[in-house]
Amino acid sequence: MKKLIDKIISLWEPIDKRVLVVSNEEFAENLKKKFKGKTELLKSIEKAMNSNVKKNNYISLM
Amino acid sequence: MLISELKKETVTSYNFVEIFCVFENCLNNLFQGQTELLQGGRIRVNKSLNIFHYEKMIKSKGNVTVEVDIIYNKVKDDYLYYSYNIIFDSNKLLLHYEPSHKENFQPHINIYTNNTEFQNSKGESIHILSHMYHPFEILLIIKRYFV
Repeated sequence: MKKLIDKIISLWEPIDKRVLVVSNEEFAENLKKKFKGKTELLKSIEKAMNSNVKKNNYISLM
Repeated sequence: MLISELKKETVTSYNFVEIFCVFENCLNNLFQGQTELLQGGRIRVNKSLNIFHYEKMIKSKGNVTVEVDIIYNKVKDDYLYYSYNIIFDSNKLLLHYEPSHKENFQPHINIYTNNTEFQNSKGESIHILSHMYHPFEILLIIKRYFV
């Protein structure tokens, strides 16, 4: 229900054309591909991405 | 506005989008009319996660390629990674910062000439330690030497 409400609210938010809002999965895939083999960097990005997120928003890069 | 007149405010999570939007516009303007290939250029934002990501690639008809890749931690107000690569002829300047990179925790510059990285006699790559470059300083370098 909350997701649906967030979605409706987001429709009314002004979107800066220069800013691209991407899904977590797409974002994670992009990073994994780009930094393949750079384990330390991926770990630190993962840690930063997931600080203070809800459990169902957790994204793994490893 | 001239690039040299841009105010170099410290990059934070509050002005990240604004600063890199200005960077983006200025970079495009520098290569206006002589761009062969353009990729990226928008700041990626994940509302539920704590990261900003900006990546961009410009290849000019004059055979200069500029690649930019920035990842910023919104919560800690700090870079997780930055890489400004300027490739021209068979040479490359790589301005890089990667705190998780244990031996290169300071910002540094890698130099390649004739496709070969500068190395000492032991074969170690020479990384020239630098300050953390502000995006507008990078614009000045690009304008001065590569446009």
